[in-house]
Amino acid sequence: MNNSTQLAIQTEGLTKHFGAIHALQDVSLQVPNGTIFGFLGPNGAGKSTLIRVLTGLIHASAGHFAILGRRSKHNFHLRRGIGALVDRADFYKQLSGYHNLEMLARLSGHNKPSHLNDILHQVGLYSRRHDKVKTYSQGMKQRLGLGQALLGDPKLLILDEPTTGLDPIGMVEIRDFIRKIAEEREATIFLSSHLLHEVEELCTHIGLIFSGELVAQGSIEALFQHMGEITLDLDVTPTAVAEKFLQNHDLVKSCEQTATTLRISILYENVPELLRQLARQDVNIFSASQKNRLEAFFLAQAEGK
Amino acid sequence: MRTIGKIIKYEVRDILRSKFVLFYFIFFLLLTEGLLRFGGGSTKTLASLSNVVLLVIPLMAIIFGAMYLYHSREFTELLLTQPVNRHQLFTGLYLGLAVPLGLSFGAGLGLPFLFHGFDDAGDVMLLLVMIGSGVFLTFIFTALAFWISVAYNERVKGLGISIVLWLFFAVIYDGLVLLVVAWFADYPLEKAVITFTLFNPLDLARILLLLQMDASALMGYTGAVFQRFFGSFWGISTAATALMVWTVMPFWMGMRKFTQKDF
Repeated sequence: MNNSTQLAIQTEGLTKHFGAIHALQDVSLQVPNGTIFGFLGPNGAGKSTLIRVLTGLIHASAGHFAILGRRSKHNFHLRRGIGALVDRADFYKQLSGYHNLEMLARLSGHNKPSHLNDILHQVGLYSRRHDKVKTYSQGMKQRLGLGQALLGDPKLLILDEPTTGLDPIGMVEIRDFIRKIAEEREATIFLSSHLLHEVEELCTHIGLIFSGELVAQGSIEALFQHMGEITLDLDVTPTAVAEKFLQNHDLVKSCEQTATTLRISILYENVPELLRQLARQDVNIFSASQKNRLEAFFLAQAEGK
Repeated sequence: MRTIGKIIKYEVRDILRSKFVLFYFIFFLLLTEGLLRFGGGSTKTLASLSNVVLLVIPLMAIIFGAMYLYHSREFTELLLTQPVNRHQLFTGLYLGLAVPLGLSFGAGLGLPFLFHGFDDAGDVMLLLVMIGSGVFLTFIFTALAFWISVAYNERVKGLGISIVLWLFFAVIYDGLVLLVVAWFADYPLEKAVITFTLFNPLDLARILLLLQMDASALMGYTGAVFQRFFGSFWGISTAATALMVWTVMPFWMGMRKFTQKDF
């Protein structure tokens, strides 16, 4: 495996079968260091299976992987230096959040009390640290789960659908937290999700998996450049002039008026040229927004499958 | 070993705070205290307790052990993502449950005797054998529970198999042995019966207790055979080894499954 030091995660031909079911098929993934990498796919596509292989919960049927440049298979030492939250977090229910964290810290050799308190502050559980976990809500358990993933200042965080089961406020809190961790700790974050807007909001890079096969990976911007036709909402005045221009323009595939904008279909690479020409028509362009870019990309890839 | 110790320490703290272990301790404490107060002396009490020990302990250990592992599946997965190897984790989880269960049984049974004393010097040995057998049965049936709950992902199926397994050792096995003895009544079956006994940890514990109670005479010829074999050093060593094997085998099989399992 080349460039392994620049890659936080690298898999090579990773395959996993559950009987006749091919959960992962020859997956070769590259997650660059320092990125927030969103691993996307519909339910049952193989996201969790890959994460479980990487975190040692599942044994791969074939292939190899390397984490933070360390290549290993079925070796628990590989998990040093990474923090992981797989599925819904759960703990010793009769023990406090602090004692649970302390126990996990001792297992990984990072049990300084100040470190634990810092983490509890960061995940917003400091005031409840001495309460038994059985009194925690699922959101609080999830935050404690993120806290345990931060033990030992990991360089790589692997999070499997970290906002699952949370209410909207909890989801926003977790997303802000992930962003903060990525910025402050310069850690690589690899997270799986089927929430496209969540990934688009958080991630710099994505990987797409369908039926166990990796169909795309790379930086979001680079992938979008190859995505073909997109839908663009234009907030412009005067609308009539803009609409007439757009309807007769060769680059525009279709144009329709919505309640507040003009919605056009156009090839992604033609957008800058069209906007330049539109500005020359004495049209004021207040905004040009491509909504649900990731959704469009995701659906295009799904159709390709 | 240090990792196993860390897991056991927190597991024991969690389990000791759960109401089940407290209930388990209080159950044996009240039962023993009640029998000592109202049921006669220490000899009668120990005779009454022997059946409870032989039936309740395996049932509680196998059901609670299976339920515990099924309930903590998500936490076990969290522990598996830590830099800990699976052998250490399984050992820690197992001992963390079996030790408090064994201790609460031993304390619940032993404390009232410390308070009330013994009618007969032989009762001290009987109590020690009873506690020893109970602790062995706790470890054996907890190991069986762990093996089952690692082998079967479905909770209902796992619990069902646990109950059937307990029923098999507690009732069905003896019934089958009796059938064999009845069918082949004309043949010398002493060695075969002793061998059959080694294949059921409950029977082993039962015979060890009966021999301590001098109740083997009630079993007629078979009792005499047991007395001759299990009363000897060779027999006691064989029984102790069989109980050790019964503890280690399901533990080892469970650990093997655990290390190979896809979670």
